[in-house]
Amino acid sequence: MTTVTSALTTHALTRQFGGLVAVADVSLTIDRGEIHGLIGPNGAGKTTLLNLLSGTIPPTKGDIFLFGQRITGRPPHEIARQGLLRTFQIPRFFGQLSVRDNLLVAGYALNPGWSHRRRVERAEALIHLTTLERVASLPAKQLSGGQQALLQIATCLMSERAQVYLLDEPFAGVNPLIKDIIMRLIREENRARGVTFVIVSHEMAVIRQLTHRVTVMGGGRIIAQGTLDEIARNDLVIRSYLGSSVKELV
Amino acid sequence: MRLQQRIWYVALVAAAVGVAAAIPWRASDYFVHVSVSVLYYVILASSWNLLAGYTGPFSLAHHAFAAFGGYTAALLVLRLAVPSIAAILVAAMLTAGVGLVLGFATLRMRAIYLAIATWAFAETFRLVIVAAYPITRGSVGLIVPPLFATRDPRPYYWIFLALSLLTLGAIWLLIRSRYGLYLQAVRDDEVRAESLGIDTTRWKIFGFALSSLLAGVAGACYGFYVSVLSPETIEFYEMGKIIVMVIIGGIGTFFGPVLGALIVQGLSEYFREFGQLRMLFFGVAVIILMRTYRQGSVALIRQLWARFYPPAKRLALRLRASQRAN
Ligand SMILES: Nc1ncnc2c1ncn2[C@@H]1O[C@H](COP(=O)(O)OP(=O)(O)OP(=O)(O)O)[C@@H](O)[C@H]1O
Ligand SMILES: [Mg+2]
Repeated sequence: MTTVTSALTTHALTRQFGGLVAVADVSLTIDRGEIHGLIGPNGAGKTTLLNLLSGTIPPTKGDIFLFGQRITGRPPHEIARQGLLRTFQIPRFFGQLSVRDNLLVAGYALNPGWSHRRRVERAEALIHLTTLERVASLPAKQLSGGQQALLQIATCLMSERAQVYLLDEPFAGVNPLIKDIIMRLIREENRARGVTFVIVSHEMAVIRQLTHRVTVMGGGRIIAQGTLDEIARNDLVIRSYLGSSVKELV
Repeated sequence: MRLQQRIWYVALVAAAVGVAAAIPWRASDYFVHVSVSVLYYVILASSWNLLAGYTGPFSLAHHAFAAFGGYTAALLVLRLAVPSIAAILVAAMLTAGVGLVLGFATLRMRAIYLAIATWAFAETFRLVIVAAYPITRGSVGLIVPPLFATRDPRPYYWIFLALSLLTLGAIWLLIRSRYGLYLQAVRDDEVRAESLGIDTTRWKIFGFALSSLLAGVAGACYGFYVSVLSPETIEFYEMGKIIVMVIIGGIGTFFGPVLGALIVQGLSEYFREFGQLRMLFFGVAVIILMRTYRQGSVALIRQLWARFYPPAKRLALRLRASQRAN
């Protein structure tokens, strides 16, 4: 069984696509209140792992526990209501709804008990924070790619109860200024409410600034785990993924 | 919405309803008769729009649901001597049940497969009606006893006016509530909706069941009005008509199907002597609209209005902003 100090635990998690094993035998523990980086080369299985953790696709084998409760095979909306929210590498949102309604619908679904006023205030605060004021009344499909990425994160932040966030390349195409704002927000949520984050990113600077621990995936497996400094010294990691760039960064 | 605006709005709607309710006193029997069919299609088009326009599934079985309601109610009255009102209610419930099952069966299907599956369902239902001659009198048609002793269309007109107002009122409230937002979220991106805690299965099936229920009520009542049911109403032509109405009016808009039913059914009656050619005309109109103005005539009117009457633009913006201040 799992200990209560872990936010997410997987046992021998495996996902096959036909003959391809995208996630192979991954046993992972993410601590409660941790900001965890997930890195690895293209096709390493990072997105597939997030899809498994959030219930978006079922595993071929293995088990997933959220705060000690088995969630393997549960539908995504139940997992979301249990406090695990995610973003997608290619932003997903409700294209014909306005930006504001995108936030409100998440507010309704994730905090059913809130007053209308509270929901609206939260939505407006997030619109302000993500600098989406000017487009708040437009259909979300009219946003730019970076704005869509921001909307995705803002939508998740409509929940004040979520305890775990899985963010897949959250800063791709986002302006550095807003990136800083969001990174501050992530740290703030983490410090104030003890929210756990799993962040997939190819940007070592982001990983270094935000994360406590890092998992490196390659070919569907975990090839290293530890602080960024530790994995930067790992020969296997350097050979298979990071090359020399990480040494320069760390 | 500001109080003054709201009063204007309510007054406008009340006036429109008042005029609509008063029509039978001045109009000819023929005009009233055509109006009944327009109101019937207002319900069918609006309820199909609730499913295809607000929830997503592009079902091709809506006409079959209306016919299912019609046959069920008629058979209950004819074979089991159930009182008409009770028959209509039971038929509506059963139609909702069938819609629920069809919604469940097509749950994971992509758009094109869902369209094919629902079309196959409608066609199967039509063949069953034709084949079950001893019960349904097949292609000969089933004679349905009228609701009233008179041949005057006026009582039916008021019934259908009340039904369409109820339908429109229910849809209006629904799409402005949180549940309406859930439906639209499911339509726009199911995967995202699921990942934000929305039970997409439930809402899709709800959309199917509710739209079928409305079609079932309309079909049941219309059967008593036209007094003969035939499998012809389950032919694809009928579904095509509903689609054309919604697209010409504006899919995914509230007033679109109302306007579309009025235009298409009105013109259909006016050009009756052209027969099936009328559908060709509407088909061309749909193609032109799809290529030029996909949001349909409601959006077109809104834009023209805003262009030639500037205050309307401000009003429209304000309306939009306040729509969900519930
Ligand atoms: N739905 C799918 N069907 C078939 N194969 C898939 C599917 N999803 C992922 N894969 C395969 O699984 C492997 C891992 O893909 P995944 O998207 O998890 O990689 P990733 O680590 O997120 O890569 P990137 O950094 O490019 O986003 C890839 O080889 C991919 O082709
Ligand atoms: Mg990926």
